[in-house]
Amino acid sequence: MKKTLKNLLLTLSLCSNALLAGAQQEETLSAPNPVPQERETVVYEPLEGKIRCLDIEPVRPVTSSLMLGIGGSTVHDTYLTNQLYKGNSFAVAYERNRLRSKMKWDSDQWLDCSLADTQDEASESNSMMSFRLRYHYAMHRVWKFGLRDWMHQPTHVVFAGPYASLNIGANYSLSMGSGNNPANMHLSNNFGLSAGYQWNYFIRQRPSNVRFQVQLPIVGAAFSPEYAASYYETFLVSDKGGRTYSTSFHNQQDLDVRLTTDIPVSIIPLPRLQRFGSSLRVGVQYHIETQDINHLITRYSYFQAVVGWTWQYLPFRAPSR
Amino acid sequence: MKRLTFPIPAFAKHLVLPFGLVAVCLSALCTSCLDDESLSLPNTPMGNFKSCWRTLDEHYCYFAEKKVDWDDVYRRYEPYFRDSVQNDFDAFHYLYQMLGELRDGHVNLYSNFNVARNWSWFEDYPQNFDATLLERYYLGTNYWMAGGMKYGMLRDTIGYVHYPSFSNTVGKSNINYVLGLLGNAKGLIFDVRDNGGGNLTNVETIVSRFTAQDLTYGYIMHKQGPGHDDFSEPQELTVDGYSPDRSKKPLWDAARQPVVILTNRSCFSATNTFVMAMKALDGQPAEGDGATGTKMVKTMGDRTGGGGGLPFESTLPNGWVVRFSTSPMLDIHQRPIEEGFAPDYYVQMDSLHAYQDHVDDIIESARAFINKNTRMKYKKE
Repeated sequence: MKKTLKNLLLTLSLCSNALLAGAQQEETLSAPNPVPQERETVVYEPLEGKIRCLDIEPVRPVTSSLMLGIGGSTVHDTYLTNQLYKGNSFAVAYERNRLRSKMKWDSDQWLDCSLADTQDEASESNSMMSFRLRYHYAMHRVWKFGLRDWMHQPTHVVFAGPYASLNIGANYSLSMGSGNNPANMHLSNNFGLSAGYQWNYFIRQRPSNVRFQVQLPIVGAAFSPEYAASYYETFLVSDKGGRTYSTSFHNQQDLDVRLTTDIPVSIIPLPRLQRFGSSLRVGVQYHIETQDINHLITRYSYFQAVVGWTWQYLPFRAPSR
Repeated sequence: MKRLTFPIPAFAKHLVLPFGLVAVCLSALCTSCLDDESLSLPNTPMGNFKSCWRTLDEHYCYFAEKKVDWDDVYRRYEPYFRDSVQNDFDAFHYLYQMLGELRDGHVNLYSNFNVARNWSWFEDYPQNFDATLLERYYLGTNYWMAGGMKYGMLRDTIGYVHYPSFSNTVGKSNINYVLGLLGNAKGLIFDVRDNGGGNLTNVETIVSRFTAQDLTYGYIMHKQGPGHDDFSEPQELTVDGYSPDRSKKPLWDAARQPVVILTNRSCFSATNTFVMAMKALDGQPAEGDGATGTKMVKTMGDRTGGGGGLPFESTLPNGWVVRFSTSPMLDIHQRPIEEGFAPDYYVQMDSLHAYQDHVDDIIESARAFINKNTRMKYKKE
């Protein structure tokens, strides 16, 4: 009897072990991805205060233009002679326009080199050569009207803002080359107002525009010799023969007016040209600078037809951190 | 496609004023506030006369010095240009006469066929110079040339330099070599007779070699306005001193080796200024360590022709060019130099003596002066 009970208990223990082992195996099979004992947490730091997609400004396009101007010119320099000189002028200009912060401002740089060959208006027997190198920098506030849907191009753009300019040049009389006053230097810098209007439209679904811009200096400074002081005395003898004078409307009247239109080159049915996203710029420009300092009147003006090439590009570069 | 609209924002009214100002200025400038017609006269006899008269009225600097009533000149000559002038030759003739009233060698009128001038400042006096005599019997054929100067050593170890025109550019090295090669001479004869002037910078280049310290040799003024008396304050004319070896001695020591400047009536303009600068050296203390005495710089010959105004030029409506004095120069005592400088020793050249004996009396007088006053000593061999 005792032996039989022993065997029965032994058998039951063996069966239970077997059952337990089988149950564990089943658990093992039914749980293919066991949960690890320690979970590794990944912390994603928020990007606030650092670069976020919304803080990266869009790439701002640059519009550059190289122009040639030809037209008529008028020169009057009473330091050299009382006679009015009229003739031809030639200019080369480079303009760079770029939208600035949040597309509400744009910067406009203009570098212009002009040369005029004029003759005495009365007899055309004496000649005068004039040279000017001008640099303007304007910062315009831009207002856009009439947004279009499919191009998001504003139809009307009005811009206005301050500008600064530097002007260097000279008038040289060819008939007085051997005298003590054959030439007169022109050196001035100005601060004023630059404003304009641009109308954007389309030619055969290609963007084009007409742009009108005016620049008017308000205050500045200019060099002028004294009434009949020679440059020998001004620069070699003493510094009292000429100096820098403040200028404004009472002794200086300057103005720059430009009216241009950009015609997209791709409308021209030439296969090679259609590959380029640039424009042909055509227009007119008028420049006048007049000074009345130390009883000396200096006037230089030209009215030119302008033709040039305009191209746009996007200056891609890594955003600043 | 949406219908295009052109909304007018509320702030647009604030743009009216700046654009309006620009439009007003643009229209004003197009019509020009400068009355160019009044400044630029027509190419007519009266226009040329008025242009010439007005140019001198506003720029000429010697009306008081010459005692000329320029308004009276206008009244006397205006009828000719209104009634008598028929062609360019008539116009030139009367303008020639009008400018001649100023008696100024710096006043000229240049046309396509003639040059109006006033040369009475030397034509009315003996010449006192013979270039052929100089070259054949003084310079000879072995003289050297540099910077437009002819120079050599005369028989009695006296240096001689002839400078015919201040239009000939004198470089600093030129004058250094000239004075250096003549450095052993008893003295220097610097002959500027018949030198009609030229570039003022050449004056300063030459004079600087005679002084080691900066030298104020005169003054210059300029007109500050169109009035006859609108002049600036006198500005100093200075020469930068030069010392070749930093010994504080000038290149030419005029205290030991006297300098004689030869002049005649044809010395004009920049030559007149050169004489003024050299006269400023006379009596200056000797320079250099241990130097004693004073510099001896004398002028000999005839009075200079004058010409103390720096000339400007301007054009007339017919293309002619008029030249005129506009910046008067003054000596170190602030006296005008327009009438020239009297020499320290008046010496006239005897033409017969020159022709027969081949002797230039002015050069001989200068040699005698140098032989008497030199402080150069030579070692006996």
